Amino acid sequence: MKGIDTGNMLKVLIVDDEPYVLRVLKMKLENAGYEVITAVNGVDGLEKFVGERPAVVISDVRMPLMDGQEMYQMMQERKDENNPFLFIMMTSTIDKALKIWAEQMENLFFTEKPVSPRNVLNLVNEYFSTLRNSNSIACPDALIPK
Amino acid sequence: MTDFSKLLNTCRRFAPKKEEFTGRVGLILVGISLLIIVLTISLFVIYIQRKHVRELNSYGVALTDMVAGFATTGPDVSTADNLLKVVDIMGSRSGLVYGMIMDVDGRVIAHTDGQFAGYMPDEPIAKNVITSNNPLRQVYDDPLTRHSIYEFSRPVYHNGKKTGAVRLGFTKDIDALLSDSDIKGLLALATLIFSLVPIFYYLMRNSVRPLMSVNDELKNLLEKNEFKKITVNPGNEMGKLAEKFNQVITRLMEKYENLTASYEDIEVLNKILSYEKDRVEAIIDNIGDGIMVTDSVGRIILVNQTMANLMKFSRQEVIGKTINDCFYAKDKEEILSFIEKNQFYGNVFSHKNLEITLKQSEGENIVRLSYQPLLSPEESVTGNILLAKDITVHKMAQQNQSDFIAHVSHELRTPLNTIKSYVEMLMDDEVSSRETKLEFFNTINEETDRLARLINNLLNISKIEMGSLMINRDMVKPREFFEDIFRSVENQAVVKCIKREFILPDKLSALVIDKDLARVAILNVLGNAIKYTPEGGAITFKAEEDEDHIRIDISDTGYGISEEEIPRIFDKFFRSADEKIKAQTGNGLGLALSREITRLHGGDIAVSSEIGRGTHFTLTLPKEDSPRIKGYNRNHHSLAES
Repeated sequence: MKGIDTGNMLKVLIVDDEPYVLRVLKMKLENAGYEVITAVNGVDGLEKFVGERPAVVISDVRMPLMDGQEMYQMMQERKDENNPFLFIMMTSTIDKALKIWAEQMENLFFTEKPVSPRNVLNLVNEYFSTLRNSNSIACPDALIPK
Repeated sequence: MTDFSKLLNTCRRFAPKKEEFTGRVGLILVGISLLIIVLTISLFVIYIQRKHVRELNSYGVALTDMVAGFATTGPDVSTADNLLKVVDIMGSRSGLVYGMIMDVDGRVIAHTDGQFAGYMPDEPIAKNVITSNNPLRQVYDDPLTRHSIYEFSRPVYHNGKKTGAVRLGFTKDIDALLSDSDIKGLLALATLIFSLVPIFYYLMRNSVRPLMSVNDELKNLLEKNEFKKITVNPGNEMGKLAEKFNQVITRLMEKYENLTASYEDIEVLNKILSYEKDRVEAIIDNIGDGIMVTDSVGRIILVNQTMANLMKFSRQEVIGKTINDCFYAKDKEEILSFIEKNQFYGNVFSHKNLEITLKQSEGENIVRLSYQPLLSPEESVTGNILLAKDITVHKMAQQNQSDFIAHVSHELRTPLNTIKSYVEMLMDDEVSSRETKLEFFNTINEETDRLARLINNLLNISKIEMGSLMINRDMVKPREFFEDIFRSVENQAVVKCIKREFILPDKLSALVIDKDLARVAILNVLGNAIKYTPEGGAITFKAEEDEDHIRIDISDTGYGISEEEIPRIFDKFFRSADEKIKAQTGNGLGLALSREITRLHGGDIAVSSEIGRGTHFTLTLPKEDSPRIKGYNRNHHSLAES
């Protein structure tokens, strides 16, 4: 599957302490033409978010030093108003409270592992497509993974 | 003690003894007789005195008249002298002490001889005599003898003219007055009275004998609780009294015996009730649920020990108070609102539970409260019962279990996620180079193994839970076995800059263990040592052998375990409350699994720890030739590869 040519602005940050996840998602997205940055924990992820200003952040929840939930909140505080971002949160645990919390958050897509790299790519594509067309920051319904 | 017994005791204190009573009667009789004698003598003496005075009066007047009659011839001295001599003789036996005849000027013309010869009474007495024209009787005390002097005087007339006066003085001396016959009479009377005393005493004793019997029987009754009927002639009053006494005492004795029998029954019943009460209280106290019972007006009438412990109040403090007084402000509102909702109004009441975390004084207890009315057979509310079930442990277990499930879910989904995504990448032809494809296949393979191991562990836990974990013993070379385990975790220690020490003796006997399970048991402890030791700390792995076992000591310089938590660390799902421990992932099953595995091997696990200083675990596993594994047929097993 080929990516959408959107130039240097199509930057995706993947944060996970599992190297296999980083490896496979990075490969999938890079094959589609995205620029992919990776981080191994929340602190690392937040640092790279501030430095690189990615349009999409894909992150695990359970991570050392700082978990995905806290990292999301820190990113919200540090985000650039002119550059909105989509946050894809992947979790391998069952946490009802986290799910309820995630539903209330802005621009946050919550999914349970195992995730399909194909679906993640679709989601990212859809997001950039919607962003380009409407300049909206809302997460469209079409982004629900297949 | 019954009222009757009290009465008996009181009587015992005041009742006189028999000897005392008899002696006292005798003394009283002697006293009375003496008193009678004294009274009789006194009355007699007074009578004699009065008689003497009367006699003296008439005698004195007569003698004075006679002398005055003879003295009418005038103041003839010789006649007077002769006259007075006669008077002296006549009056000496009647107590005459003096006699004199005076002229009108008061001069003594003649007088009697003897003790009072020439005796001149006091001037006023003489003056009265001179001045009076009538006979006089004057009484005065003789200043020398202190005897009373009765003086009789009479003027002497001659030819109608007063020529002088006669004076005769008598003394009233008792000794002199009591004659020998008088004294004899008195003695006879006294003797008679005295001789009457024993007769009187005897008669009186006879008449009071029934009373003495009453006394004896009362004494008998008081001392021995025995009573014998008094036998007295029923004809007289005493007999009637004794009969009545017999009847009264017999009735009282009957009542007393009935009361004693009832009292004994009551005592036995009381003991049975007391025993039953203690038993019921002990049962209620030993019930694991808190129980509080209130009466119809809401006063607390019963609280068991469990409830007292939950409320952090002593039972004595709350009995008689209301539920409102028992709980702290933080909990009160919720509890009272719950109770209000569950009040029994008519036939409708909602029977629901309230789960609440009690914040009474220190610590927290999660309790499930239920509140129900206590109904009488007539369906009226006689009180209410508040039950509190401590579900703290249950809730903790629930929490631990959901934490465990979350953890298991994470552990399962992680390799599953890798497998799925890698397979999908291969299917989507995202991987072009052969090397990468190979790498992907390897990863899928490794992750499948990881998943299989995890499932095995979960199965082991499940088997432990069900008590069906079996061990497959094999002889294992210890050095290689321990080195392999240590190497597998060494990287984790390196990352945290933890100093490692691995100490093994030159020679160690072979272990006879289930290699996979024993590895899990040791790894769990060793993994914890690294996980819960801060960066820059140190861990030591040391193995030694004794007669039967290989002993593995794993110590660290980590966070340590508090004294309160040590007894619980081997409990399934237990996780420390220490923030530093909680910061690390864990499912609370590692140590439980380690202990089960070592025990299944016939070994054990022990721990000592100090907060902030570190922890020391000792695992013992059976070695070759250990008597514990007798019967193990080593010919059928090769040495396992390590």
